[in-house]
Amino acid sequence: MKVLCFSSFTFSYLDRARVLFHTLRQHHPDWELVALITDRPPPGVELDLGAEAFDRVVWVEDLDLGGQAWKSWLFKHDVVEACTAVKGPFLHMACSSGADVAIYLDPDTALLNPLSPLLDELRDNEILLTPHLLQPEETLSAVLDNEVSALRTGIYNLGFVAIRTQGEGARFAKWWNDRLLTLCYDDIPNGLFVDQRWCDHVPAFFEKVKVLRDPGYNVASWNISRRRVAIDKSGQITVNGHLLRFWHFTKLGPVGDAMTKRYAGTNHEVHEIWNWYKRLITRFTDARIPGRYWAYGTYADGRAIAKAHRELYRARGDLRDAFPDPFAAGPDSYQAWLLGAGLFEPAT
Amino acid sequence: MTAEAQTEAIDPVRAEFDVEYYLATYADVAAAGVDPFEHFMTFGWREGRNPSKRFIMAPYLEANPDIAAAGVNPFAHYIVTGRGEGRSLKIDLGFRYEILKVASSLDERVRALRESIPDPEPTDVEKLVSALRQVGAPTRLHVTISHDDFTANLGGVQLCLTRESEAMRALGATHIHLYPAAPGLVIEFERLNPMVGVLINGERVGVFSPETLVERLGPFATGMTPTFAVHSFLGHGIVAMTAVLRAMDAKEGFFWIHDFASVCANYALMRNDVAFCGAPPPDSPACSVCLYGRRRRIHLAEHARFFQTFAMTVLAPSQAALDLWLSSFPVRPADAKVHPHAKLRKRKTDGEGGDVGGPLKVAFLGMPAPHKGWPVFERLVERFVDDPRYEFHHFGKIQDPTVEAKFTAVEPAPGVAEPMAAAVEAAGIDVALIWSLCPETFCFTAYEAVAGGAKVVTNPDAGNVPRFVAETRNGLIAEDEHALMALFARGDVLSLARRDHGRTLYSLSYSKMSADFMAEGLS
Repeated sequence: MKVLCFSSFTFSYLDRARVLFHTLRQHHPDWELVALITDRPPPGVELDLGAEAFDRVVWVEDLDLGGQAWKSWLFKHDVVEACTAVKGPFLHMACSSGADVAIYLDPDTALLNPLSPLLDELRDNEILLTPHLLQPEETLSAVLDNEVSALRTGIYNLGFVAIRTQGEGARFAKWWNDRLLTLCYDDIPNGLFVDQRWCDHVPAFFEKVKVLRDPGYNVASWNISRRRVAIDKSGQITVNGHLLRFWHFTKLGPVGDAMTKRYAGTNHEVHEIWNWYKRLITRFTDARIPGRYWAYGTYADGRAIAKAHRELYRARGDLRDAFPDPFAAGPDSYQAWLLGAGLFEPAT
Repeated sequence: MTAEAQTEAIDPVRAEFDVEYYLATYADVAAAGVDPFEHFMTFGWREGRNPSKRFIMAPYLEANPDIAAAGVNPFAHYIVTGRGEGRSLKIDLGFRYEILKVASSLDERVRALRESIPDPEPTDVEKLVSALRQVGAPTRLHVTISHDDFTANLGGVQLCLTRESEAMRALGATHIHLYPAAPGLVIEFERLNPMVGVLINGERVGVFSPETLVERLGPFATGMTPTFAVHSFLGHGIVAMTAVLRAMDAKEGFFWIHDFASVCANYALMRNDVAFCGAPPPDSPACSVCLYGRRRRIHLAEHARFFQTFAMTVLAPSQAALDLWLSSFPVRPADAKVHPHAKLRKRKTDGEGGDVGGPLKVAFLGMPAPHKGWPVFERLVERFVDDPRYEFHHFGKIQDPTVEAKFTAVEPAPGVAEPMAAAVEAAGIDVALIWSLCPETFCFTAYEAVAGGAKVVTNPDAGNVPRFVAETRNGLIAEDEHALMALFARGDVLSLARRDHGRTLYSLSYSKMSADFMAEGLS
């Protein structure tokens, strides 16, 4: 079975993505690994494919965006929206790439054991999803932190999805592509949460959907309160007795640490796994990449693009028609128009 | 009712305030000559000062942020209502979490040690030449390799080497001991030629490069086939040591399993310094997430190559150590034997002793280090310190003042055969908690505890300790920390230890280490 596995990220997540691809390569030397990058390299940084664990890079401008010009389309999205939105068009493309199976993994995930059982699942099923939670929470604070959060952002965590590239899998990819090209926004009051909330529909819209109930997949701070991690003397790591397959290291830093501390408690193995991940991040960090770097976070003159500028551009077709390259600066640019309209502070 | 007792009844906060601790901790308060309790109640709590060693402000407020936000005196609140509400004194994620929280990578640790203790400058080679000349032309030569200068430090392995050296010299051999000039956490790999310290017949000669040793020791050993014993390669470059031994025409030797550095870069097999790993396959997920995992491969490969170069007889001080080593080392040695460092020899069986009444005296023996189970003892003391059934002791070199156990300084000393046994006997210790988190290959401490009349309480991961306890019926094995706490809570440990306390006492009869196998071969 030919497998294509991809992750979507910007250069500020390159360290995390490298950890993921390193672990993927270790466990699946024969899979095709694709880096889907919605960014441009920072000055002085060049990707050397020979030194990376992924096989190829797909840039946002390589995608079929349903006829929309990529700059205009991209401008409508902030960094999270953009990196999640491109998953749809690429997954749709992957269905005609010759691969039998396409798997998406967030860049901040990492494998601890092979994902081979997924391929067995995909013999009878065509779409695999992992819910954020597999068991009800037991305390009010955990209900608020985890159950309510999943109600707001989506039942399934789209840090992972696996499909057959034909049949229902391909039909899902096309539908997701269509939705993400038009409505992949962080707009919880209006029922949207980027690419993820959409997938609450999947078990109803499609056949051959399997909700993975194995706690060894997609372990994260939001579900660790109900999962017990153990490391045995044979060297295996288990979660509620099942082999640990992959971990989702969401919110690397003090926020993630606080959540882990709150919900992992004395399960010290959880902290061992986090320490391992942090050591790998240190190993794969490129110090030349500035923190929070995103090439599409600024206009051509380097000034930051405000969320409100994106939302206005998103809402008004006339502006999109008038300014096909909204990233431009200088005369006749969208930025100049914003300045004239009093919506942008002049540069000091 | 005394005036003091009346005050206690009226003011429970004052009753639990530790005047002595407060004055000892805050010299400015002592110097001011004010009432320490009044000081704490007025100023001290606002300044974050601790009212007793059992109530530490910062962790209490971290665990109870609502109290911090309310701006009330946390200690007074705890005594009056907080304790009744079941509030905890700290967010207690256990000692393993505390270790993991501050863990640095192994590379960083290796680098830090190398920077803090750099290699010394080499000694003038003439000193080596002259020392070898003084030895003359010996007919027997015995070489040992270990992690330090055994004459400069005292400990289990060092005492073993002292006995081996003395025994070999008594057999007429010249003894050359090689040790890393600067200590190492792991075997040397990055540096090709770390400096090597040399002792000849127990006398320090100096530090030399491996090339110098090849040049000088090679010709010195001409005509002899030296015997050798490796006690530890920590801090050494194995390639360099191999070259030195080959230059001396060594062919077969002994390899002692004092620890598991031949199997992993963590010689105690403590995964991430928090749990005994069982030495699983090096490509296992457990080794992947372990900070010693990457260097483990180097340790295995370098030791394996050494075993392929020389015909090695493995000597383990216990069957437990040998079993674990054989199951985890990739190369079959030429031979493997169990050779205990010491045996118990009865010195008193007069039937006296038995239950002397009073609280059960429970002691932790030795270094208060996490891998020796000190945090578990700490937890035990914390939980039962006010229980009249128990009295807690700590015997060792270094005191941990945060633990409420009676401390007695005990140090290994030349001329005192079993200092720990003597201390255990003198204090009438009933139970020694030997809760090593990792496998002990022998554990003199357990032998000394029993020699001094105590029973040993241990866990299944402590290597030779549970085997020794089971075989000699001198204690019990609690499955884990929860089971240990339950033993003390129910009082099961009382009947175990008290029945025949002190009826049999022992001394230790020691082996001569590698020398026991070479007497005939050396003729």
